Amino acid sequence: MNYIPTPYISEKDQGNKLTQLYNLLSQQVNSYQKAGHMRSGSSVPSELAQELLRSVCCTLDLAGGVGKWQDLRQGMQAGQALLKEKQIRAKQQFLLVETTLPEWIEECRADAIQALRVFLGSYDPVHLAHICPETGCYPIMTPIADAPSGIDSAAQILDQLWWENQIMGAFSENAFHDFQNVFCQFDRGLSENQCQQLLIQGVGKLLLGESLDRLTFLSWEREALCSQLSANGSAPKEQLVFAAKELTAFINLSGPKAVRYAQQAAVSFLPRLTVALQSNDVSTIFL
Amino acid sequence: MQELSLSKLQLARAKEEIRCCDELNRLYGLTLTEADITELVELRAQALQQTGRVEFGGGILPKLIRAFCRSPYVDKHTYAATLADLQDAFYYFKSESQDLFSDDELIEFMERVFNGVAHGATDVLTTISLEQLCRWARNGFDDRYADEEAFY
Repeated sequence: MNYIPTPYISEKDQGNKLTQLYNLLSQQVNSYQKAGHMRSGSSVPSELAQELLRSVCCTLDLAGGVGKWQDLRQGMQAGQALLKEKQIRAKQQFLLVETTLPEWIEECRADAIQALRVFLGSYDPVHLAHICPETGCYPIMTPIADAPSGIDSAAQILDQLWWENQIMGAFSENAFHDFQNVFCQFDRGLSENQCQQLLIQGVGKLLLGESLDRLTFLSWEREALCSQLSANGSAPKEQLVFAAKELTAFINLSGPKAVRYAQQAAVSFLPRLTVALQSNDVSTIFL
Repeated sequence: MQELSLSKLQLARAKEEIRCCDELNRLYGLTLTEADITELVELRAQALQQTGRVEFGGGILPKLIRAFCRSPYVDKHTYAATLADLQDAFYYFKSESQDLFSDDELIEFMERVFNGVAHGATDVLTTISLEQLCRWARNGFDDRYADEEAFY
């Protein structure tokens, strides 16, 4: 058990904290068994003990860390109270996401939403606070840093889904359906993010100075985009970032989160775009 | 340093819990010396490590003592060795069963087999499979062992 952040507490206190952590872990094992997750017993598999300890440390981190509390039981209580609040908020977030979904969602997004539904239904903030949802291959825009608690990672994913719902809902129905028809080809929905693709289409249209009434591209439009993005004077990344910001204003979603999402989405295409521009064929980027 | 202190604390607690069974042992003419207790506690640590388990509190030995001290097959000369074997068997079965049984259930199974078909031979317990243990302890009745009273 080496989870005590030694820079934050004195060596003298470390022994005391270690004993308290041991006692907390013992209590967690009892509690886990009493909650019916396993049969009662004086011993448990090491892997389970490690998971329960991770949960204890995660909970204490949320409450300010081991160094903050003389009595770690109070730290646990404070951390668990915070976790329960976050759990309630995450469930509310999920309802919002669910009720604002576009009519059709791609398979990987549906899988991510189902994974979140299962996660929120079974999340155990008392014993396994650190467990994160398994959203599979759904592209998460902002890498989830070591979240102190699993529920925080769920909240971050839900935030992304919410913004995506808003963005997808901001385009005209006809243009959106026209785009969807093209997006559905070649099983893109299995692993690609529809919203990100939608944004890059919109970015492309704005770069050409065209309206967003039609979101798909003709051959000559792709050629024009190739010339524009390859032209000297302004790197493709700068053009994408600028156009993404303009796009959010165009669809009346210009809050900082929406702008950040749109710019990240546009920039996420940059590696593929760079290769595509070399061969002068951007048909896989701008559908 | 702190981990060593914690280990020492755990060992001391485990020994104390075994000492608390002295009176019960004496009722059945059994004794455990300090050397026996120390060795049993050390063997417990080894058994836990080998089976990939972690234990809180004093351990399973007090329960094993309470269950097996009255067995007609327990001998005062081999009492410590018998407890060591029973302890090994217990942690083995606990892991093999993936914690499907509570401690009390598993000890009950072991007791029925030890006092029944095994006739006090710990090598029967330490070499049989979990499946056999459960079958002998629960369903028990088998034509080959029809004369064994332990199954009724």
